[in-house]
Amino acid sequence: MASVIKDDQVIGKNGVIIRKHPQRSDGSPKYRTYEIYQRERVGESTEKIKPGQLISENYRQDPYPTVAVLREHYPCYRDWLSNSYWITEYNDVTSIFSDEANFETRPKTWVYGLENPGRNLNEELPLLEAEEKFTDARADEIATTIAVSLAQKGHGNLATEFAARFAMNLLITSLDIPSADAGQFTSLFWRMQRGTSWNPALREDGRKALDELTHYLEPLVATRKKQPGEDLISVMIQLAPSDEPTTIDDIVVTLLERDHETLHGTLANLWFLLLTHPEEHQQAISDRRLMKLAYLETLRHSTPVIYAHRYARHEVERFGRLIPEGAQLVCSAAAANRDPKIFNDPNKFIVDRKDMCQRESRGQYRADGLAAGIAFGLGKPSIHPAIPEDRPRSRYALTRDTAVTASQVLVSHLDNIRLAKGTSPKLSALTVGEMHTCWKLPVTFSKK
Amino acid sequence: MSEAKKTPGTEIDPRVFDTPEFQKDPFPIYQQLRDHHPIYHDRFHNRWIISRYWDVDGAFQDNESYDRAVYKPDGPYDFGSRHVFGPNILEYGNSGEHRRLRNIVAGQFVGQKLQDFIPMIHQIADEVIDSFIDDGEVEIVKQFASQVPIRVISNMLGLPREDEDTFVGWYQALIAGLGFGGEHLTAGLKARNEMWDYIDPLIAERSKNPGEDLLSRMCVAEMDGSKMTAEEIKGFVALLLAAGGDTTEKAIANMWYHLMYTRPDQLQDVIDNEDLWENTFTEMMRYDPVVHAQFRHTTREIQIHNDVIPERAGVILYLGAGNRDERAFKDPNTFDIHRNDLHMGKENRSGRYKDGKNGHLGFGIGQHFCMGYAMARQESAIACSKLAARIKNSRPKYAEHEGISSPSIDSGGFRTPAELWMKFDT
Amino acid sequence: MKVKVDKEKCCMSGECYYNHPELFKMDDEGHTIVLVDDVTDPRLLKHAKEAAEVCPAVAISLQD
Repeated sequence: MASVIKDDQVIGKNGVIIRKHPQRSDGSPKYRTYEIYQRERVGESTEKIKPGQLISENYRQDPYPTVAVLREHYPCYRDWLSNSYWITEYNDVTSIFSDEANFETRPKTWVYGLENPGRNLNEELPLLEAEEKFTDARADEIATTIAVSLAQKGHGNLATEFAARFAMNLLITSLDIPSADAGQFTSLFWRMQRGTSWNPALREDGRKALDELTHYLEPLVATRKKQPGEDLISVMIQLAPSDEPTTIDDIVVTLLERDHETLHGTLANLWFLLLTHPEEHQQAISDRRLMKLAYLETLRHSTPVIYAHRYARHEVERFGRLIPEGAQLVCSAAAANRDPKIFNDPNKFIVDRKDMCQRESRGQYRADGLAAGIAFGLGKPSIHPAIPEDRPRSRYALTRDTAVTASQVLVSHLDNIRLAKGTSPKLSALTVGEMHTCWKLPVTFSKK
Repeated sequence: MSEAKKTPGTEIDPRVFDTPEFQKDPFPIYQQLRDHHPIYHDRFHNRWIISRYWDVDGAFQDNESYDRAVYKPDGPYDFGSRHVFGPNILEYGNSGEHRRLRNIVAGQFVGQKLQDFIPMIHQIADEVIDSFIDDGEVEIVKQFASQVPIRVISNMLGLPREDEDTFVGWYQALIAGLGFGGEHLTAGLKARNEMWDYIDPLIAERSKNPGEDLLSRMCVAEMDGSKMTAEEIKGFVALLLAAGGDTTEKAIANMWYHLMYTRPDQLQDVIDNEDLWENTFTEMMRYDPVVHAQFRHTTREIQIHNDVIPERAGVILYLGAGNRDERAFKDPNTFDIHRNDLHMGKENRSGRYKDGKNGHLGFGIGQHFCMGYAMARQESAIACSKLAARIKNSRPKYAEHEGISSPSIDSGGFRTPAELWMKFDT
Repeated sequence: MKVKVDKEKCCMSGECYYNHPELFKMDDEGHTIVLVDDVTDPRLLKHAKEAAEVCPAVAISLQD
């Protein structure tokens, strides 16, 4: 390399002086641009994470340590491998919720690439009302049926026989699907939802399932057009938004765009956490209020939907870098929910957290000035009062109340719920990108 | 976007693109892409893939729809701040900025101006060969291929010969820094900053007293009354060193590799007739080009093969796949320097040739066609024919070779054999 | 000045139409089409001269 070092100058073989970087008066080197400053300030290596780690087996099993590194070192990490930008701080993720001007959400119909898809009726008030009415009236009974049948067995898999089954039964009953078809409907619905994945095999199967579901619902819808019932399908049929009669495609799209992960996933994760934290378990089952707090803490600590995509509508300078138009942002709830700037002891499952909002969050604006866990599946945070007078409460609130009810019912029928001997359950996703939850939660209990 | 009828069992799991097998031998996947997924939406990596020859060609030609730039030229982006080379022409897409920079510099690499450098290339080739001619064997990658281009370029730029080793070190760091593994990027930036500090005084001096070298020409060149700024010149030097040096080095190594292992039966033809080095170069660029992929962003929705690429989507154009398309070349998976369906003469930007044959896609096509194509071709041909002329009875040292592969995803770099040992007599 | 392209000599290199799309266009086969009949604008004239210089086939000429 260069031959002579004189004072603080380095001189090349040909006599040309190679200057060092100009020094600031406090001794730290100047940086040419902010970008390079961003990179160079992170010690010797600027990449504490290689993008491959974000799609690895490790990440699928436990994303939390990996995204923690992102959150600590990279406000906006360029994942060139997956052509995305990762947003990992709590304040940044929630700021995106309220920024419709710059970032857009793309519905599942876009993911499927449906041409002329049906309308998504999930925001229609009459449907929300009917859901609230139905859930408040029937959730208890549906949970009871499940609890009773479990009690008779003496043991079971809470993940599938309770969490998944409850969520599914709630949906099936609300739609008044004939019980003989419950299995078929479950399979179709689940395949259709899984098909929104990146995996081409799953997507092709999901597309088939979507068509099969449409085919299955046709006669049902025809009947209920003539003889409407109280079920949600009848409600949807009678909706006729904008004076255009509801089509079968509208109903299928509404089912597609519906969240299928939060109730199921949070219930499973809640019981996973309770069963692996005996003290918190006792706390939660002692009081309905504490069960509710346990649910909210689960939504923060081990949320089932660990990320959501947003797309930049145009070039926008945010989070320390210029984000190109059309860029895909990965908003990591896993990272944001464990942000130490927002929550003390973020990695601990604490039922009675003092630093977490117990009321429904409003995106960036927090009731009590406290933050709540970010839950992506349930749509934008509500702008209405927590207990509205002239409209049904939000899906977030509905899901929370339903989950708490179901857990209460379980606890009232089963005593001494314990993990089956010799099991060590864990949370993971079936494939990278799917819901982060538990599929095996074998327990023993005694009848009450 | 409706899903075209897919033959069952031909789905590609997008995770395959991250596997070492794909890095080593992407061609079977390319075949599947061309046959069954001419437009492939890789949702795992958030990008679209185009692989057939005429589709890649069409995308290259349509700069309005397939834009190379990531950021808008009139937006807030501080050009060069996100690139290890600094502000350089690769960052520009379809804008007047691109044309301005290109028109200033491209002229220096073709025609008479290129011919002026030929004697220097001969001299350098001889010097490098001198260093191992008595050894009876040579590791072509390190001792030959990687030594010639960097010295040629630094000579073209009029950089002092005594500091050549420094340049080699810098440019290797720059190329590695093109990749995305962080340690490489830091090292690349450091090398680039050192290089710029070295060149700054040279630019100041040669703007006042220009010589005949490329750097002087860049300092004084004018297009429409505007000159290149010092930042742009430095960005260009970084680009030339890395892109012009590294790619040509790989080309030289790859040419020898194919004649030693892929088609050893054709080596003698080339030794007997040194004009065939040009054929070897061209066929190498078709068979397994140094660069396999180029990235673009769509500026509008594009209908292609029963599908629609959305606006602002990332698209990969696989030139490596297009070059093996049987719709463009017969027996595409055979390496043959005597091929009669490939245009063997000089490549050009339009990709269209009077002999009606198809050209390879290795240099791209159109607006962003490689500026150094003539340089690369000439330099490789001269260096290789010089080596062939000075040795006798050349043969591979090892019967087996693990073949050409891409470097690790983290480090930047292009496809080449890791090592290439050859024995010879003098 | 009139810009003429000798179709016999033209080797479809594309240097003219890629460098100066305001003056030249590519047809379907790759041959050059001159877009401006009579070039009077001094800036365009300069571009036409540059194109004539750069053309590898020396196929472009400027005539009064």
